[in-house]
Amino acid sequence: MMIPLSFAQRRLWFLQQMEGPSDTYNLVLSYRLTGVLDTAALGDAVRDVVARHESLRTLFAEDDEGEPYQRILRDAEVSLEVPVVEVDPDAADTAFEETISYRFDLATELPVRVSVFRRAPQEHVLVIVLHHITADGGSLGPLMRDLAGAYAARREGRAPAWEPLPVQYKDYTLWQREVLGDVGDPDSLAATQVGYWRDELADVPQPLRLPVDRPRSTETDHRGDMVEFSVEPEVVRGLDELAAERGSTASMVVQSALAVLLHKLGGGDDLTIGSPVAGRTDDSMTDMVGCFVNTWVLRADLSGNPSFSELLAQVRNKALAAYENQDVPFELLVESINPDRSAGYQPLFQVMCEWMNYEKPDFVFPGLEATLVQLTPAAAKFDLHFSITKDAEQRIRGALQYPTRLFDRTTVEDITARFARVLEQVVADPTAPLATVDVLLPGERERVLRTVNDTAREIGVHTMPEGFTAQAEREPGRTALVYDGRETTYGELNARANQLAHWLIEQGAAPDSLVAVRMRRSEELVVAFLGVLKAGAAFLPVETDLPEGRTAGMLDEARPRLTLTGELPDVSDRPTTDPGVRAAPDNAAYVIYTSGSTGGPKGVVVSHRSIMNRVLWGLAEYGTGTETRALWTSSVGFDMWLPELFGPLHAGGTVVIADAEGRKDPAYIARLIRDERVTDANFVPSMLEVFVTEPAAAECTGLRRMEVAGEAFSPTLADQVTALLPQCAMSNLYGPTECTVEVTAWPYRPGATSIPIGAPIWNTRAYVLDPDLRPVPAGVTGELYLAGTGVSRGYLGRPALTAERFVACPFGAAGERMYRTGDIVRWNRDDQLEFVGRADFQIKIRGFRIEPGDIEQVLLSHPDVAVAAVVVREDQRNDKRLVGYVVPGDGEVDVTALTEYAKERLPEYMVPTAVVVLPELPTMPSGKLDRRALPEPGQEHAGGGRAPRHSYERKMCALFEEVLGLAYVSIDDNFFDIGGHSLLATRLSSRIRGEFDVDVPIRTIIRHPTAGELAALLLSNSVPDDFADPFAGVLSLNGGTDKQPLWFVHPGSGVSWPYFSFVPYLKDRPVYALQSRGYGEDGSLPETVEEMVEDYVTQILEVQREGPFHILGWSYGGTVAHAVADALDRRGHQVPLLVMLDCVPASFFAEMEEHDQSSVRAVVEGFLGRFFRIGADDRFVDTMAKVVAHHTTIMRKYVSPEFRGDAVFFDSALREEEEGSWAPLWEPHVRGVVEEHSVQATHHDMHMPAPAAHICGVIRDKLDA
Amino acid sequence: MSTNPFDDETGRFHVLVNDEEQFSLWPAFAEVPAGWRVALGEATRQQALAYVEENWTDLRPRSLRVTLAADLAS
Repeated sequence: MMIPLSFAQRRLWFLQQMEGPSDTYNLVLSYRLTGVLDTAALGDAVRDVVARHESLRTLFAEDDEGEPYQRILRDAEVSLEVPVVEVDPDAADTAFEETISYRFDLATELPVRVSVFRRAPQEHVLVIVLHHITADGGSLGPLMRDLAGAYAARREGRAPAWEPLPVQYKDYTLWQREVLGDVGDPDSLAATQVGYWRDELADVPQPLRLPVDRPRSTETDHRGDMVEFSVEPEVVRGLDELAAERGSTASMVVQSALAVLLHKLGGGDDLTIGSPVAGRTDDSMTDMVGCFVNTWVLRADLSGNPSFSELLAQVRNKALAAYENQDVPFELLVESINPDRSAGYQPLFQVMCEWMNYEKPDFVFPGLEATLVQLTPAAAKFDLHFSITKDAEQRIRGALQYPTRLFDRTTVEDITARFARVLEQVVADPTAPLATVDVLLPGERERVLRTVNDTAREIGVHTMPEGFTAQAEREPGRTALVYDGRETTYGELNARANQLAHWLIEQGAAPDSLVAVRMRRSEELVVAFLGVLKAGAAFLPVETDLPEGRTAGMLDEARPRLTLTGELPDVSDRPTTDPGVRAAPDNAAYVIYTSGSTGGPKGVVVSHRSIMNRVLWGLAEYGTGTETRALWTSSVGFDMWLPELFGPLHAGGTVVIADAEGRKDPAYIARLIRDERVTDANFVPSMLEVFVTEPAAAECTGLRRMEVAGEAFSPTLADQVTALLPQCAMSNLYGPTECTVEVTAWPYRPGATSIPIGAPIWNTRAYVLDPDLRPVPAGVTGELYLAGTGVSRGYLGRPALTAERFVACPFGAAGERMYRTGDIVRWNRDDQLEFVGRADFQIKIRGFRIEPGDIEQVLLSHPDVAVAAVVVREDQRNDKRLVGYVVPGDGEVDVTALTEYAKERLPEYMVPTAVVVLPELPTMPSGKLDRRALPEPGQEHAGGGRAPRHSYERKMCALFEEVLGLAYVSIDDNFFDIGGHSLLATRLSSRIRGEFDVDVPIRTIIRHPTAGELAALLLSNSVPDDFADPFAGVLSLNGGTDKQPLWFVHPGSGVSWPYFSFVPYLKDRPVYALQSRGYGEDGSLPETVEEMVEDYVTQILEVQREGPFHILGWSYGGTVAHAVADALDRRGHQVPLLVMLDCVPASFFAEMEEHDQSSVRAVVEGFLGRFFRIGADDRFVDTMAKVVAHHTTIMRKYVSPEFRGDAVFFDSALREEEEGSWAPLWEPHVRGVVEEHSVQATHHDMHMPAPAAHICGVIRDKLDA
Repeated sequence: MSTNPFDDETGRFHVLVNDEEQFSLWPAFAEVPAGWRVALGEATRQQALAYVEENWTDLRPRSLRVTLAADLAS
């Protein structure tokens, strides 16, 4: 009979399968033996112990199904030597490092090794290394007792006279299964206990937020280190007294204190801590070596600001309940609860708290004195692993083990010091609310409140227009503005602004009154803003492309005294002199509407003092002056534009105005920067990302400085900018509109691997606070609060909202306010702030703050919608999309109509790019929306995912179905969401090996958990010989129906795989794709395009005997598709639909530069390299290079015919070249009509999901018509 | 992440006012900062916000209101 693994063994075995042999789970036991050592007797004694305990001679093998079993070697089969190694007498304990970090291969080796190091004839060190699969902490006592006993006997030349063990580990294994029963049987112990834990751990937030120095990643580097600490004896006494008073144990007190610490370190108020339980529930197990230990998870609830006593009572109750439910192994629990899995962290808990009671050693090696040597393997199993022991003298000694990939030593030392502080405080006053517990170390409070905020700076009394006015009077002839090739001088601008101001004053504009400005971008707009300011009033900028509904709502709320819209009034008869109205610094300068976390859009009222602080800081920080030529691109709805425009005008510089259409177009921006010799520009990162890919950007060599703000700025992007424009300095800035544009800044240093948001600017203070409104230490995340001159007045006409966001500041001058940003940040070691995330779900897309709640409100206001949720999806990296999910009311929801409805009421950036109708929204047990269960748009049909499209995917889905016991699995179903767990993943891996003869490690399954992804990996890595499908001449892209098929013609590469992305949108008809024969067995390529067309027509007719035919081709494929359509037509077939995606007639190929195969290969490699790793000798890449080069060559000799039908042409709107649409090029080659559509994609991205959806939408309308 | 104390729908709150007659919601558990006085004693979040909505009728700081009024009078 095969002996299955115990649950603990299975988990450890599985980890080895996943990560390969490692030393992470080594247990080390080491003693210094002083005296005369009989090494022969010791060797025999070791073999005696191995003979006694089966677990020490168990290997872990796999059956044909990939199921592991215990292979217990017979005593006689075992040969275990105990080497004696001579070492230097002074050799440090590190000499043993290699021994203790041995990597056991559990399939082939005994899980135990014993070595003796001889330092001197009478001084030896015995080192025993065990794999955790074979032993636990409780095994070490019995092991040493048996070893010492056997040694004593062998030394006297006899065998040990012990009674054989009554039971062995294998008996426990079988007993464990028997007792627990089948978790599927509701009456079993396993099911009952799993039920308890499932309730206890439901919806626990994961992973725990810890003050890591480096973020968690999926790299499984377990290298670790350890920091030791101790607790003062009087604290230990207090701890014991407290435990005794409250009927709990010292270990419960320690667990509770640790929960407090983690809470204080940013872990929230619902957190988990793991702790071991011995698991030796029967006396027969006491003397056995084996892995019995189990883990229980404490879920501590620290909400509602309890006292420590209350928390301790809670922990005590939970520990007792856990004891009642301790039999179900943690491994089984994880499988049953199946929490969100990531290779980046342990499931269910990441911090381990181990309390070890001191036990006096009860063994003697005759003739030797044995002293324990502390050797700790340099591997860390958990993110933080506290081991705490009370020694014989009642002192608490602790060790905190940590993985070096996450933490620096100093951080961990601080954590231990903070832990000691928590213990001191809670023991001293257990009834105080936990909010009063402080984890700051000496000096830290001063640092995080004052040192980092030492920003006071006298800026004088200023208002917005005065710098400009002074400048205009000083040097009226200097150029203030450049727009569309026209220059406006300071003198002209000032005169016009003055005239307008006089008029505005006549109309009632005055300090603290509001004038709305809704005009197109041009010099006129600047005149308008300056005019308003010169009248002493404040302006409310309204973007011209904002929907009427939103504009009306805004104006209705703000009630401006006047609105300037369209053209400026004729004020030519008003005086050109300054009207002499002076606003006070505390008067409002402007109101900007912003989307916030609650309550829809609201107007932020900003004073002159606030905005001038930001403007003057920027001028000084960036050396803005008369030589500055600054680019103004930002939308007036986004306050970044204020310093962009008013900074240079204050300092005598020139502002180059980007026009309304061009400001989002990287090519236009690059040209403008180059042609207008722009020195300073602002970017939001998403714009910068497209800018750096613009070829003309490299010519922006006059660009001296760049301010980047509005969203996260990645080091990768910064590197790209540096490479492109090495002369250009960059700053990363951050700030909410409520605190006036930007309040922190960080000057970028080339090569930086992370980009903080920086330190506060002049007269600004940043406080990072915990939920108890106490400052957190550096490195710990908290919510950012801002105080100082930039804090705005509040929200126009919204007192309650203002009072909850602009709140009393406990750290500044008496009566001061601070703004709570809702942003989660932390201080780094250099006193710079790092942005971590949003406290609520508010998000940013393209620099715009978006509150899904606002969008949900709009969707809900539609009469057909009953329930709505809006989320941001990033199904593809760097591709953030807003998706709305709606549940209809009584009738149905028309998605198109709903989208239109949203467009009328929301600014363009807030309109969901997709709306998905669902019968109900998925929820978690708590009733909260289960965001991860929301389907990706376009994939919500057919049971939530796409059906397999080719044989690889079919096989892979079948394997998923088999392993999971499911009737149907789509290619999009996540293995772990549909019942898969790690052990099933092992089986899947084994089945994939059987089926495809390819090793797919479990790690890969965790990273690529869908059948679609795994199939794609197999396809791209190595294609077995018996599988020619992906290169078939005719590739079937989906299942057939009786509708007329659609034919795709391969692009220049010869393969039609990119067309797979069109299929989800064309589910109702068969789709076939033609592929080049160059990948076939003989690799023959046609001599001419005519030959190729002939061949393709034949292949099409083999599948589809008669018309009508629908043909589509992209790029080179479009040119061929056109030729194929023509050939079919000439044979008398109907071709009602010819679709060409961004292609040119054959004659244009002759104009292209000719490339040889090797240069083509480089291009192909670069392109494919984005998707998978390519070896130097990759045959596939060679073939593709050959095919591409050949295709181009034959097309040069071809002439596109004149097709007698119509054509639908999709032109790339984002094409790199600026030569206009390619559609007209086809007019000589299409006798009918060329219907043109513009697609928001580059030439190469036409197959990406968004363009593919657009294209297929048009095609479907044509086919259905 | 824990709920921000200002967003805690079940929490108890004060309404504070400073010399500029600006209002602030304030969690009852936290000490009242210098320069602020309690305008409304312990209340639910809803009650506190309703109080603010009713009593904070002019969001401009008091000193500015005074100056503007003086300007108008002069």
